[in-house]
Amino acid sequence: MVKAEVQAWQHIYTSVERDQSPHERAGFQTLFYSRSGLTEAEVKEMEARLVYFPSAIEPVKRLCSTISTGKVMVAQIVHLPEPDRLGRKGRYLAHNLVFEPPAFEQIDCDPFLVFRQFPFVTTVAQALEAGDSETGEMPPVSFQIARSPASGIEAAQAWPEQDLGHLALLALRAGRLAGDRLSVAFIGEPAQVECALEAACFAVPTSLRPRCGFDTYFHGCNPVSVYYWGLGLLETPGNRRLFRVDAQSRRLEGQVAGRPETAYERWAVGCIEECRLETLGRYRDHAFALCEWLEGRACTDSLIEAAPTEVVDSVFRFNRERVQVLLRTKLEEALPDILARRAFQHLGARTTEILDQLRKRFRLSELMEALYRAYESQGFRTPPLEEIQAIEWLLQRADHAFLRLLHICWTDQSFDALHRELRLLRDDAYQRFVQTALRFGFVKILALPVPGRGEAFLDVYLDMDGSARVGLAALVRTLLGVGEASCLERLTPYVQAQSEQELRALARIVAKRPGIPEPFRHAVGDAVAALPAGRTGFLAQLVDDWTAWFER
Amino acid sequence: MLCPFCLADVQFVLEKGYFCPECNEQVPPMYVRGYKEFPPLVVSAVGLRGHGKTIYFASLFYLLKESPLSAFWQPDFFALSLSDRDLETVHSNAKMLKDGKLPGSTPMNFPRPTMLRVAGIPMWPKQRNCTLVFYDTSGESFERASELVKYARFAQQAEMVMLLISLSDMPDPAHDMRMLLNTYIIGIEDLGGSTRHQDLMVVYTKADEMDERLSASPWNEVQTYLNNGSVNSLAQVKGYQRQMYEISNCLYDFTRIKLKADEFMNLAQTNFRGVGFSIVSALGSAPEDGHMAVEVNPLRVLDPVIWMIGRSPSLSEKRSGCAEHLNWMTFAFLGGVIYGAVGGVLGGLMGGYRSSAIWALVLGMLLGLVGGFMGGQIAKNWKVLLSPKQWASASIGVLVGSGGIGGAVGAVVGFLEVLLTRG
Repeated sequence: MVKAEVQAWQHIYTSVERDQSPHERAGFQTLFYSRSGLTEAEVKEMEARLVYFPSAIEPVKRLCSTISTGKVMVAQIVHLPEPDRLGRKGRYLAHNLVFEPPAFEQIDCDPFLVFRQFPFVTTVAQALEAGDSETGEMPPVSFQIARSPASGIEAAQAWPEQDLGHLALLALRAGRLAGDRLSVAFIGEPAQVECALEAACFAVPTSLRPRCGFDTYFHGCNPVSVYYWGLGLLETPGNRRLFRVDAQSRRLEGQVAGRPETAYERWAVGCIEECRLETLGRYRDHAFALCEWLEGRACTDSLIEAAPTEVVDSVFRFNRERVQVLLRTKLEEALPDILARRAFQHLGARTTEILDQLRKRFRLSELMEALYRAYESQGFRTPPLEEIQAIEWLLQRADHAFLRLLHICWTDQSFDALHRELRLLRDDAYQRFVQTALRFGFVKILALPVPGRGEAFLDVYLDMDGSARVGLAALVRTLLGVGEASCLERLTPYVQAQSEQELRALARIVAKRPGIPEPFRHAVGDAVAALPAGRTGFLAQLVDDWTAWFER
Repeated sequence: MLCPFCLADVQFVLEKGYFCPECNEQVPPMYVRGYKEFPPLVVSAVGLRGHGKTIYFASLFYLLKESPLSAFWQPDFFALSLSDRDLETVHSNAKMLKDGKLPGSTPMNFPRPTMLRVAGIPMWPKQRNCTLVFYDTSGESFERASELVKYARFAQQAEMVMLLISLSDMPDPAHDMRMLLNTYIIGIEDLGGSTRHQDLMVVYTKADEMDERLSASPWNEVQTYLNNGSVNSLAQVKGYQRQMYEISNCLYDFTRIKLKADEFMNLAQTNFRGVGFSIVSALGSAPEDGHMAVEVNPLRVLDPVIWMIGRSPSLSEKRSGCAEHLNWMTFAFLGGVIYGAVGGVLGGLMGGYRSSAIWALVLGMLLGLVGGFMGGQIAKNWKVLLSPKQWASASIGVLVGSGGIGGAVGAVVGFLEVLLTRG
């Protein structure tokens, strides 16, 4: 519970006799008002709203409305039992507090807090004491209001989820309803109407609350002359265009508001359906800012930044489609369409990451990583030519080593080009790429060894499934080709298991190359010696030489 | 069509009921469907605080619903509420008065109308039936033109405005009446309208408190009319109109002579199409402490409404504006012809044998002019609701008609007189 100190201008409107009036006039009139803060035109405008027709119950009436200058009036009207000079009943007294918008925001634009905590004037005698009968002046008032983030939750909890959801939608659409001059009729006694109004406004963020003007006891008044979003009526109105809420049985009657349409509506209704009213009450402003931003409307950045992960998660969950549309749109600003579509599914998985990506400009490095993950998820299958060209375009703007390597692989460029790129990689990156290449097979194995990376290559290669390996002779020849003779020693244990053909090929390679580690050379020699006698003579030598030449 | 709620001229939208496209209010189907047969007639009561507007309407509802008018005015008369709300308003007001209770003060607000379809008022057999649309707002709304613009713009739509005046609540009637009328005229002009298209019916309310003022001759005639004006008086249809005219003329003089409200009268006659007077007592006697000690006995309450229906151009079936003028001009012509003939005879006699025709012509024209104006004056005395425009038409008719016809008649008479004398 936090206490807020607020200031409000005051206005008293009632029916008095001439001798009680600062204006020496009898009848209904503005008795006093704070001249320092209110203009005569504002007072006249408010007078039109301070109307009270008695009925059998003569209840306390409460109303809240925003006037044309943006100030917010929060008023209480009480019936006065004393008749006027002419013996007529029907007198009443309205005590009206008028807030500047920032002051009203200090109390979360919650008029119900004011109704509960402010001591309104209820008799003419009190009013005459409070104002200056000479000048008609009434000083502004400062008072403390205790507010809690979940104020109104009790009123909301009393409603069934489905009806509360519809009620919340009606409140959230107050602006649109006002445009169409449609109101919501709350049918019941004024106290019940007030509870229903509080429940309806519970889901409404602070910035929208002033749109939900209401009058808890509109009995006898004319909706044509003054518009309110919420009208408290004792009986069901005849006008079928009015939305009807039974404040007594807490049910909506007749037409309902339909499905949620905006991001915030989806979130609010989602929270209500999941019975997370505490979250709704506490974080509605944060969620509203986030939802407004999602839908491209102006919003308060600080609220978005302060939104807890739980709120971001839930907002994104209830607005998955909208988030995706926004992501795609943002992606398309940064990438060619074909690549945007490809990368879209592989952007950050955490909502906070997505939010960060959406709010800031996409970094190309992140997009390229997402793109790489997209290709990885599809086994690095060669994409269409158009896409490969788009990648080439992208690589001219930013670098991504693996994408560049993939591009080389998909465009069947020479081994030299591939080797050039592989040589630029750090050891760990090289090994990762080799591992990927060996796993998905999008490039020939023997294209992977590069000078200086023989050990690194073999680390990965020897770990892979034996069935996928290439012949040992070809591998040795490739390693020797890139100047990695020193690492052949690691292949020694595999010599023994080679076929006769492989062994003879190895023997031929080993015989002609210097710098081969001795253990490997011996292993090959021993293995060949252990073979049964083979071809001899000049012709046999010639065939072996040719074979070796072809193999090279 | 006139939307009774927002007063806009609209085409109602049919969508599970009739709705006004301007204000979204649901209009009673009977109002829309019967618009041509029962066109709306705005009943606009203007008056200061405590002058009896609300009680007058309550009394009117009481009279229309609780009195035996249907028995008096058989077989056509009825008064029909157009919606549940109207029915409730009419019946609750009628019941309130029946129980001896009085309505409370009316707050300043732009009121919702109460609609009542009225048919078969026998005083005006040639007038069409109508839907009376009552608006009741507080007297404070008429203290300033700006308030009137805000809360009483329905007054602009009225063909006849009822100015309800309680003399017992006016310290200085001449001044207060002028101020009220002035405020009203400014308000209507500010609304973009003009009072020159409206009739003004000055209704003296709380007539039961006017005994002292009406006791002396010739105003006691009004007192008698009032005292005989209980609901039963409405059974006697024949001569009712004539009585209303006479009382209107009497109250006209009362206003000028007794109240010395000349400026008020001048303002009224200059700024309105026509001016009439009426006197009512909504309750029949003064209440005590907000309650009626005796049974409510409305006196002459229906007169202003009868005036309004009778004077309404939009309810007039046969008479066009031109034809209506012709009525007044006939008086002038008759005067011209009669006086012209007399002038001709006199001219012939005065001229003798020589230049008798010229004398006859000149005297015929002069006396014809006098006759025309006198005819107009007769018309004025017979029907006080003659506007300045009608006066002008009548005067032109006099100049042309009486000059020509009187001259011709004078010439013929002079010629015959010469022949006869020679012969």
